[in-house]
Amino acid sequence: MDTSVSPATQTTDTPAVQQAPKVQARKVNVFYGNKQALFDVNLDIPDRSVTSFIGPSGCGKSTFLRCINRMNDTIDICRVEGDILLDGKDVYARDVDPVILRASVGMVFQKPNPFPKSIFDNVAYGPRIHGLASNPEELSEIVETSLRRAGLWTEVADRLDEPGTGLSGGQQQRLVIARAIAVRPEVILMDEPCSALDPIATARIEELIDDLRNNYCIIMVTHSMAQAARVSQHTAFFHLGKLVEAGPTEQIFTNPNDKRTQDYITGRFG
Amino acid sequence: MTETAKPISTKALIAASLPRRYRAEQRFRLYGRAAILLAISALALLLFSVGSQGFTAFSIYRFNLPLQLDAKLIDPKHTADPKVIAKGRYRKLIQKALSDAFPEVRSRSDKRALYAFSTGLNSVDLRNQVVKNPSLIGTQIRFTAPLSDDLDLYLKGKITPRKFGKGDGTLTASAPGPKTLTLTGQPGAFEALIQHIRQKRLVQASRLETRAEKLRERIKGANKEVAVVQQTEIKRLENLAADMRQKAKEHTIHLDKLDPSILIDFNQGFIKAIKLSDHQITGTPLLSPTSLEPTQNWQSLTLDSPERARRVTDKQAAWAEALLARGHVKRSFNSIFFTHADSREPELAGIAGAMVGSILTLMATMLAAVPIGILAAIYLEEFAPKNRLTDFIEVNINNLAAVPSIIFGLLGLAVFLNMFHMPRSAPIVGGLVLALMTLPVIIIASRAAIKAVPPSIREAALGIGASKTQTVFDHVLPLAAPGILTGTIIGLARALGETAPLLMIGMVAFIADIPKSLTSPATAMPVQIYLWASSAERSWESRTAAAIIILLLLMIILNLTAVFLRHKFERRW
Amino acid sequence: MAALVVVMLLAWFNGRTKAMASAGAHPSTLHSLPGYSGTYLAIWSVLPAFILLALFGLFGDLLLNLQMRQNLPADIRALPVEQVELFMRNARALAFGGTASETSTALQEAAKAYANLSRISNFVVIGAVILLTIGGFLYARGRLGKNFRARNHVEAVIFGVLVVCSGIAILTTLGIVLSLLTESLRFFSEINALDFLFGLKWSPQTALRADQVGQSGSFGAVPLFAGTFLITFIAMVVAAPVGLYSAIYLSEYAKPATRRIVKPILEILAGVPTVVYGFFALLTIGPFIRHAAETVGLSAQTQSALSAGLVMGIMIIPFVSSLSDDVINAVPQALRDGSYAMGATQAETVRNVVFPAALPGIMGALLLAISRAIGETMIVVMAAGQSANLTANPLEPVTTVTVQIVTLLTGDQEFDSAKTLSAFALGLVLFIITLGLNIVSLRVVRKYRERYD
Repeated sequence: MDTSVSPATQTTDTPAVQQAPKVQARKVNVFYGNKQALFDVNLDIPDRSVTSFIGPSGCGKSTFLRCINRMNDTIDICRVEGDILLDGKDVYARDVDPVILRASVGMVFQKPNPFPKSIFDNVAYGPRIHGLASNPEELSEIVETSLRRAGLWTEVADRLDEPGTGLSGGQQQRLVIARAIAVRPEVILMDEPCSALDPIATARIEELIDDLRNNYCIIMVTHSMAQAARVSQHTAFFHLGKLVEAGPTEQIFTNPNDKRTQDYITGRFG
Repeated sequence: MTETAKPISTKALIAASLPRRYRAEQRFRLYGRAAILLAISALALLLFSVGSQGFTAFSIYRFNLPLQLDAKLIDPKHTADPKVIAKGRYRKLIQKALSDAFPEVRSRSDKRALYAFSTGLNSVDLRNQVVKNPSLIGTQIRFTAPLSDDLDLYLKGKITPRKFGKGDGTLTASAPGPKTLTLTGQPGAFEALIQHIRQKRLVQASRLETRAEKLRERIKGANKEVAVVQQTEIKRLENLAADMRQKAKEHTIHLDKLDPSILIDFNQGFIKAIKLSDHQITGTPLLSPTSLEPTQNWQSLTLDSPERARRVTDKQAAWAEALLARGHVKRSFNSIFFTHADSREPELAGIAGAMVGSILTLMATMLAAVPIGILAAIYLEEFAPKNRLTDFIEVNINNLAAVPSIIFGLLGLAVFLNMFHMPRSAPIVGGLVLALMTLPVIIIASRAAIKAVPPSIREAALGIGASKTQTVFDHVLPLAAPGILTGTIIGLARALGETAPLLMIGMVAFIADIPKSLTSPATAMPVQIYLWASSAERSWESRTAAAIIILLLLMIILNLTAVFLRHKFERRW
Repeated sequence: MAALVVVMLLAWFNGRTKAMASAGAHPSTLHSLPGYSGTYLAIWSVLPAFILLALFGLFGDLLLNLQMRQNLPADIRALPVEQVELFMRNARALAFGGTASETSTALQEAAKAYANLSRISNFVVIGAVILLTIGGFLYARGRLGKNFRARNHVEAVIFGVLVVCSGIAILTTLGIVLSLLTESLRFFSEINALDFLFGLKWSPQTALRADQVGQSGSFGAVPLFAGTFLITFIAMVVAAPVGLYSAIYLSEYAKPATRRIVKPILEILAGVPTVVYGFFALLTIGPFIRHAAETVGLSAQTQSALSAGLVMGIMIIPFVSSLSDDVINAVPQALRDGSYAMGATQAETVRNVVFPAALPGIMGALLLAISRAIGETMIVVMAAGQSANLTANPLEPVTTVTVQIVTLLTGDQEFDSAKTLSAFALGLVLFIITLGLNIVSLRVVRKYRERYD
């Protein structure tokens, strides 16, 4: 057990973060059956910026990400201990409804997963189920704004009726982001959003992420340190289920406190 | 930015929609549960209705009477010639034994009713006994045979429930006339019976009234002529109902043909009530009491369905009760059902013939389908080149598996019977038809089993110099055997339950012998079930259900064997 | 047969010994294991003879019949086809010690000739079998030796047998198609195919005497198609929602333990023989429907389209549910996750994402179920009735294609009459429809699987 670093305090100490953190984790432990996947994670994540989780595969970064919008609820054997606070409110509290939580904490997955529906219906999916639009015009408006924000509008404006599965990989991923934006979330979780894409598509997504950070709190899992360095303002390093170090990206990449971070970043393991 | 201002309202919107959405969620979940529940309860209902029906057929009432093997009726000239003995008048002997049990039965019609207790075919059994052991002639034996099916049903309470009422107080008898008997008990002794009749009459009346009411509803829209005709019918029904209501008020009940029958068991006799009051019954003896001594030991027997609406008369019921009381009729395990083939008489019909037929048919199926199926699977999985032909074979097999079974029956009829002139109704033909039907199942299962054997086994065998054939037969096949066996058993179990193709090749004939070979006429269990189910008489119903129970048990045994084998030999690579 | 088995064993041991002998003291110098030499010898001794026997068993009768027919007296040959058939049947019965339905001198003579002919042919065949056995044995024995590649030869034979076995599936299909086609063509030569397919009246009974009125019978199959359709429709109305909802519940909601118990129970429904369902319909459902209909003032009979359809629906539930279950399980988890991450409830996810994704596969499953329902025989024979009623009222008895096939072919039948032949025409229609449905649905399901693999 490493006690030399207290990442939570570390983050709050950094001058880059002035306002209250959007997401806070306090002593989060996660178990899959008898196996513990996360150990005592404490972390503050600021609003309106991109925070990257890095670390070798199987280190628990995705698990932690899925705790934030309670996606782990869908796995029967998964158990979460500790508190995760969104705007100071525990998301695992009894009176928090996962439906509302997930509407305000959107998620984008590793592999683009557009629904087998038209492009329009894909984006309209969230507003429809949540009843966000009171009439068709409003719905079209939401769809258009979302697609514009995801930078996809110009490419698909004339073929909204075509199936979303017919788009290219990068377009699909942007469609999925538009789908997430359409319900007006506050936080967007991204689980290795570019790992299934080619470099050009990746670059477009990265641009998009950079755009979006003005309005959203974006939390991103990535296995590419270069991407973390390029896109994010804050970085957290996970190793073997523990949060080793977190802080402003520059500091983590140039002057890490922990030896393991240093080793990982310089490519000694992982 | 508009969005930044909106989150609160978004959350509120969603929160407002939540109750509705969770209700929808609950409903959806409920539909799923209801669907499963529906399917399971359909199965339960099926099993229950078959089980409750079939259960009664596993026991049967047999009569057991002293029977004088009168030489005059068997071998009057004392020739001792088996041929003469075989021609004896055994039916007459059985009838005499029945008459002896009730000496007072004199009239022809009564005698005929009494003889109906034993089917004529029982004489065959008696003849066989005597032919086998001629020294019995002239002696008295105890003859046991199944009671005829109607009386069996009566005693099982399936014709109308036998409701007994324990007698209260002493009952004295007097005989005012030759054919009447008056029974007097303590006041209120018959109150319950009177109440019962009254209530029945009221129920009857209200039933008539509902019918009249329905007719009245219906003629509202009808044209005038129909209305006039219906009007009289309505009138008639209403009059009948009013009459019934009136009669329900009678102080002394006069039983008529629409009323239940009330029999009083008095000193080993049975008196049928005609007039019924609070403490006195006047009636005709169906079976004379042994004495008219007063007794406390009496009981009433109420048969709710009126005599003319059932197949067993009050007299027959009284005789059956008397035989039961004397110990001459007993309920015992229905061994006949398991040892006999089909018969025209339900009480002598058994499932053994059909069972042997099924076994023979299944043997033929197995002999034909299993080797061919396994060899075909081996070829397709291990040797076949990937080309158009093998693709075609594959599509072919998949489609054959979904061809309706009756089509295979047509194929059997056209090819095996009409082209090759194979015998009709023979298990060999049935077996071949079912073999063609099960072949795709076996091939598909065997291929899956062979495919599951990891390639490393093959590589190892080939690596030490075995030929491809040796590899497959010595190494792959033994490992795939449990899977193949399981698939085969499941296929055979399905063949066991198949009916339609067998109908096409004439296995529906009435066959009263247990088949002896693959070419002798036979029927199979599902076909026997079909035949019995289409018979009108009530007593076939329970036998059909019993046959179904046995068929299902056989299928369950086969399937459990398959499951057991799978578990025992299951191997994970 | 038994003799052949004995010969086979003898040959095997002999071949083995000879191979061992040829190798002398070093069995390992043999090319193939000695057992293979034995098998080689056994195959050569028995297989040719066996093939001859099998051919004789299959076609001997046919040849005999042809031969006999040519030798029949002219006056008998002049008789109509059915009577010649009858004559032949009687002659055959007499010749082999059976009982004939009539006797005459001509018949006696024919019978004698028949018996003679069959005796001669039997002798010939037995002689040929013995010759083939000895010849095969000697030929093969001559070839055995130290360097003889017995194994390769044996394997070639095995390979041949394998190919033949897998060809039987094609042979079966071919047999079905040919037998249905030839008999149907004979039927259509008497009855116009259009009248058959579009005629509204079905009363296939042909009169006993030729001079009876209306003896031709009418073969308009539309009432049968309508009945089949009605019952299939009712069955699907029951089976589709119940099967689908069960599948959805089992794959999306149920705990693994529940699933482990419920799935086999549902599959029992598919294993129950159809004749049992027929009995159930006749005994329980039919009377129940009649009573229920009467209490609401409708008239109904024990045999009705509704009772047959309901029970058939119950039978088909597991087909729909297990196929749909497979299909739903094949929908990638990523799609579900995507929906949950949007804040959709489970029901919304299933309805709006999983179900549309699985739809092609589910359609395939439903098509298979429909084909099953159309071809189902025993339930409708027992529960739907026989009267060719052109009605849409589910409380009335209707008849179906399969019921008519059974009724036409199980009563007293004279072969070659339009009545019996019409059963084959119906069979052909049934075969074409179910085959079409099967091909389409199998293709749809396969396409679907490929999409998500």
